[in-house]
Amino acid sequence: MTVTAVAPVEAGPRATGLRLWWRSAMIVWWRGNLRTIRFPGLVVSVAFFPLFFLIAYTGLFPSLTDIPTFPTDSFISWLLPFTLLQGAAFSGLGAGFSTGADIDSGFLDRLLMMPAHRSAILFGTILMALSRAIGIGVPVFVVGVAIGADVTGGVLGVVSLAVAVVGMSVISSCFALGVIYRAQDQRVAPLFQVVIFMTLFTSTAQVPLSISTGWLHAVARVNPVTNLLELSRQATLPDGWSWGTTWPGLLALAGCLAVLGTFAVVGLRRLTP
Amino acid sequence: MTATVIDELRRGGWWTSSRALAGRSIRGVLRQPQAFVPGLVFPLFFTAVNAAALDRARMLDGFPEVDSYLSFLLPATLIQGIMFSATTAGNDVALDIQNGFFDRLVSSPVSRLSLLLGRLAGIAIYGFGLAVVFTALLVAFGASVQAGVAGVVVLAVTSSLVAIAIGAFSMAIGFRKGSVEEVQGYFPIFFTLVFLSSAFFPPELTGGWFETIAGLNPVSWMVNGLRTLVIRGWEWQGALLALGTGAGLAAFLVGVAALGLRARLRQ
Repeated sequence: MTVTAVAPVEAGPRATGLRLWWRSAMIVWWRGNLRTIRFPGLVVSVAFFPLFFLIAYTGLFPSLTDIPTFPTDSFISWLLPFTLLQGAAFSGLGAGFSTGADIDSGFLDRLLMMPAHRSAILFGTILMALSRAIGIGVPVFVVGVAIGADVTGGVLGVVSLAVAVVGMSVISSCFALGVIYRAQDQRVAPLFQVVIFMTLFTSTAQVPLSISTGWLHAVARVNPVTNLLELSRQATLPDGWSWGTTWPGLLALAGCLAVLGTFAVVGLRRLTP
Repeated sequence: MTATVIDELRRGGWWTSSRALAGRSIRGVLRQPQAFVPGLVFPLFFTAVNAAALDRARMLDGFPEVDSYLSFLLPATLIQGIMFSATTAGNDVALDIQNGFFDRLVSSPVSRLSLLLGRLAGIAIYGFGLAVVFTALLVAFGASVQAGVAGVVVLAVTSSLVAIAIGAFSMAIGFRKGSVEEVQGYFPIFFTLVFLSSAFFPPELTGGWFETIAGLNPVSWMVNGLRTLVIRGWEWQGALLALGTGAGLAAFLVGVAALGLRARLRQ
């Protein structure tokens, strides 16, 4: 796989500048896709939790919509966007796992020797995570709608959901890559899961702010994932799409991208073969 | 540690060897924080989140009368904690097979029974201790056990039985496959069993397919028995339901593990 992935750069016409950067990024991306195809277990493990939570929580909590102030009478409509964001977050963690394996096998050192700018490695890896997020998200969305989720937000609602999913995948990739570039050790991988689980579940993942109580209410109010969920839930909640709900989500997304993007870029820049 | 254990095994019968292997199992867990920390952190985290997120669900018609959602979740927290930790028994078996220690044990004059019982005894003690610690923590944060000390004892003994059951199942996989990854691959089974039960919400409020599946799930029988003791007070029926289900599962799965061990010894 390694040889196949690297060969096109060496064999093709000599590329320079932006073209070289783009081709290098595409090679990293394609290599990640090959890994996904050759190890379908990776996709199964990433897809398991979102699909499981979608089905189990839909069966478990339908009566929560009877609590006054719950914004919909369809629990699956409430849950589906969270499930998609969860899948996107796990796809980003996959980028961290894959890079950890490349560090252990020494392949990342070879990538660092590429003549293209290092950011091509980061971009290609994020793109690979994004491919997985979309590859998992589309079937989960279809299953969710098939088993009863309403799509009430029209085109703008669905676009908001897509933006949130893509954003979550990029954010979690940057986080996982920033950590693995610094630690350079696969054994930090469980840390990704702990942080992502805690960040996702201390938001409005299960119930809206008006229903959560105590410490969770306080944390969920300031957790940017809450804004991302509100952005994405415009696709499935009865209120539909509005700019007033969209801009806080976009702002949260931009803030997370700026912080975690910098975290990943600096980590990669400091990496020495 | 390994050489000391083998010396100890040479000196005694099945009791001595079981005791030595149980000690090794407990030391093995305590020396690997990555093996027991998730079993402590994740269940407590999910309990804290669910208690804060779902507390208002107590207002729903048909929800059992309970002073806090934390009390309602106590049995689920124990079972989740054990689910995360008890699979280490199977991981350790697989690891022993991979690194050759299992072959050394088999070639030493150690009782075959103790290969099974030693590790299960270790995980049972761990399950008992985990239940006591979790109960104390949840009580400190506002939960209560209406059945008092007797109720806590039943909670801890049932947890021990669950630890034996899950440990035995993971050991069966470990004996047959000899691979840590394969043992880990079966983890979603326990995850699914706990979520598709009455652990987090009363199934009678869910209706539909979930109520049917949860009603057939032995984890629900156990949780319902324990929950009776936690939220209502001492009832023999609840205690016997929890202990009986735990013992039944443990006995069945220890049998499955014994078959796995026999298959491994024949190889």
